[in-house]
Amino acid sequence: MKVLVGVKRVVDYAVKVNVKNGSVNLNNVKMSLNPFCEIAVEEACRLKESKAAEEIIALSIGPKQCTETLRTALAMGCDRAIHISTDMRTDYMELQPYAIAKMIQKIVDQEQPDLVLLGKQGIDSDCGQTGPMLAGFLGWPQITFAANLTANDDGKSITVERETDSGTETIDATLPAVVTCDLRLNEPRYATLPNIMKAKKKKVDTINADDLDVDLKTYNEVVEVFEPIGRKAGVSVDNVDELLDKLRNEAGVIV
Amino acid sequence: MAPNNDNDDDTSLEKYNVDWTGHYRGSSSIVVRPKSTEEVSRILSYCHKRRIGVVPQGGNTGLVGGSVGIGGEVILSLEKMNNIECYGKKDGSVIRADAGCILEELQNYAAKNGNLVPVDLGAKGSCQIGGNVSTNAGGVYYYRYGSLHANVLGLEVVTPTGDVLNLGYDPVSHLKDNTGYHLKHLFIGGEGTLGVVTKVSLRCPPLPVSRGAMWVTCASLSDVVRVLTLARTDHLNEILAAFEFMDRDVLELVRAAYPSIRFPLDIGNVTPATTINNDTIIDPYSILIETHGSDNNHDREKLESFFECIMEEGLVVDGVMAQNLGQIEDFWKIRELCNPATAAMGYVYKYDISLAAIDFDSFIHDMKVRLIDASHDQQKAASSDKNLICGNWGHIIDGNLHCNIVSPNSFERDSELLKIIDEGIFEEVMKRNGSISAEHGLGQYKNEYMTRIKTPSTLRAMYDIKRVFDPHGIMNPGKYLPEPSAESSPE
Ligand SMILES: Cc1cc2nc3c(=O)[nH]c(=O)nc-3n(C[C@H](O)[C@H](O)[C@H](O)COP(=O)(O)OP(=O)(O)OC[C@H]3O[C@@H](n4cnc5c(N)ncnc54)[C@H](O)[C@@H]3O)c2cc1C
Repeated sequence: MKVLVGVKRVVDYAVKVNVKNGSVNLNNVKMSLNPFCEIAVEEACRLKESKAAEEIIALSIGPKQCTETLRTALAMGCDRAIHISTDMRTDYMELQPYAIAKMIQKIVDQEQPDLVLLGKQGIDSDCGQTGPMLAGFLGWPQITFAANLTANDDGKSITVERETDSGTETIDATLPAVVTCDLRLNEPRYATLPNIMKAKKKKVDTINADDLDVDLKTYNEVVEVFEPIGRKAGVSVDNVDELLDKLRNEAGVIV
Repeated sequence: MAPNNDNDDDTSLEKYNVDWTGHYRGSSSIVVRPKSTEEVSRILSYCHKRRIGVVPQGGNTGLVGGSVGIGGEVILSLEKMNNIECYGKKDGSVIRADAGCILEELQNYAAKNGNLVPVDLGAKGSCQIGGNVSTNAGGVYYYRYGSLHANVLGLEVVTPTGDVLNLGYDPVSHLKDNTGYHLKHLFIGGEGTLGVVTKVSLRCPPLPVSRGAMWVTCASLSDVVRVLTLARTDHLNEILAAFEFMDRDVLELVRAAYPSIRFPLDIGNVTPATTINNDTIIDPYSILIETHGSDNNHDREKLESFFECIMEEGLVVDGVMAQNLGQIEDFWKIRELCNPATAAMGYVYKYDISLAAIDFDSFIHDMKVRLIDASHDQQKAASSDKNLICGNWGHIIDGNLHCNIVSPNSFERDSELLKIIDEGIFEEVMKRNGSISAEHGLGQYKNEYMTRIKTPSTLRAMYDIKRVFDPHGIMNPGKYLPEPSAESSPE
């Protein structure tokens, strides 16, 4: 099978973000591969190593530095990459899941993959909408929050486990399909230096977002972005009566 | 005791009487936990008058038995003095704090304001800045940011007579101040033998905007040294921040002690627990390199071209490069487990020496030969079949080797063996013009070596200084300086 993997470039999860001029400050901030996309890349590589997949194409949408992020995916084992180039922000401030899913759809039309693997969400906007929207546009089965994925021997279907509040769901789906990956699916590999070197020689095609004939408009307006208010220090109470009193009269959570 | 100390939380004396290694145990029945410089002063003058021995104690992570008593001294713990006072400069480039602040808390506080505390080490979660100053701790960024002698701008200390000395601990914290003897340097690395450090002001460089890291493996120590030279000069130069090495023996101990830890070069880096059961072979030497800079792309390019070069020269077996900040922490996690892993596996004969990096190889080799001989003798004596493991790691860029000899599954010190190893280390270090203590200090473990490594006149000057500050010898008695011999003792 042929696999298309989404590779989003986001602020590194270990960076403490700050807000400047009404949005998260991206100036000289460490950017990395979205951790859920990293899991998707890892899963694709494992499919290839187990001979279930023949080719993995990594796809990233964003500024020119996305090619760096794509290099990480290529070093982990993707075969080639497509970069949809745009200067619009991809953290919901400008480009939003609808437009992103529309663009991915264009690439799907062009590349005809059997499986699209995406992260369950980007850690910048936390929307979790791109996968479901893409499946909707394509009319393909969608399986979100994958915690285990098996390519079946028939070469035409997959079995996916997803974790839900009420337990593990096991779903069989025929290909082509869209799967979004959750934390427990796998533990991504490190990029070895020899593979980083080899990745430099792999092909990255760049397409201008404006040339895709997709509506890129920002439909949802972001009203305000602010840093979380610091948690107030807790208080200790001496006895149950005092606790009840505070819950009743200060917090107002019981009557 | 005079000062009022609330007996709030943990009143058990055990944790104050045993050090991190578990090898040193005091029998103090009194612990005082002052909350202010004033209280420290009252405690010390009380003990001075009555000639009661005092052991200043920070996070108790020192590795030479300096922070616990030898007999029944009073333990003066700084743990209740942990305010981060303020900045000595508006831009936050100078931080002022009580001696009892935990290093990691200080680091987090500085980071919030865009600054880096120029000292970092594996014990950061427990050790205190006052303890770091008192041991002149080196740590992993020593090469890049320099020693505490360079970075401590000022100290407040209390001498045994109860006098409070302000040694450049000023609200304004000048970067430059050439007035008078720089007495603060006597307390940096003084191991609590001259007084108690109560406040510290430190200069802090800006947090690096860009951090990169790679983990590479080498087949020989001479390759490691060549990689080090190339990193330091032609390739990483101004962005090089840390260069640590670990040998296979210590990483095997880490793997045995923490089986779920994933090593960067495990094949396909699959989780070991689910697959190959930890039997991937670890390359002979592993190196962790970190860079600090101001431009991620620039630093990444430098790291990649550096790797290309060392690969072409055939110096490395394999390597990985961190793709995000989390992976950098993963690499450090392994490095930081070296110490606890040896401690978990058996009794550790612990050494911390300075040598030229090119001498590490022959030193380790010669020590291993000595150990084989020693084990043979031991076996004859005790018919035990335990083989000693010699695990090595350290800040090789500073010429600093942590040589740790572990007796697996046996947690008792064997004093015969200790003597053999001590003497072996001493001879091998001296042969190579090294130092028997690069950063851990002397404490009660290495103090008796002083007569063999310092000239009598140098030692005499040290006794003179000790007498000026601590005429009754109440501060950390029996440590740091050796028991005075007839010829070196004053008067
Ligand atoms: C896992 C681990 C990793 C380590 N890595 C390094 C490393 O990379 N580099 C390095 O240099 N060291 C290292 N060390 C040893 C190092 O010396 C200590 O971790 C640290 O600097 C000691 O701080 P502490 O607060 O625990 O001091 P303690 O252990 O409590 O005390 C150490 C000495 O300082 C004296 N002292 C403590 N506080 C004061 C004070 N306020 N005034 C006067 N005297 C005082 C004590 O009396 C004692 O002699 C490591 C230790 C561990 C356990």
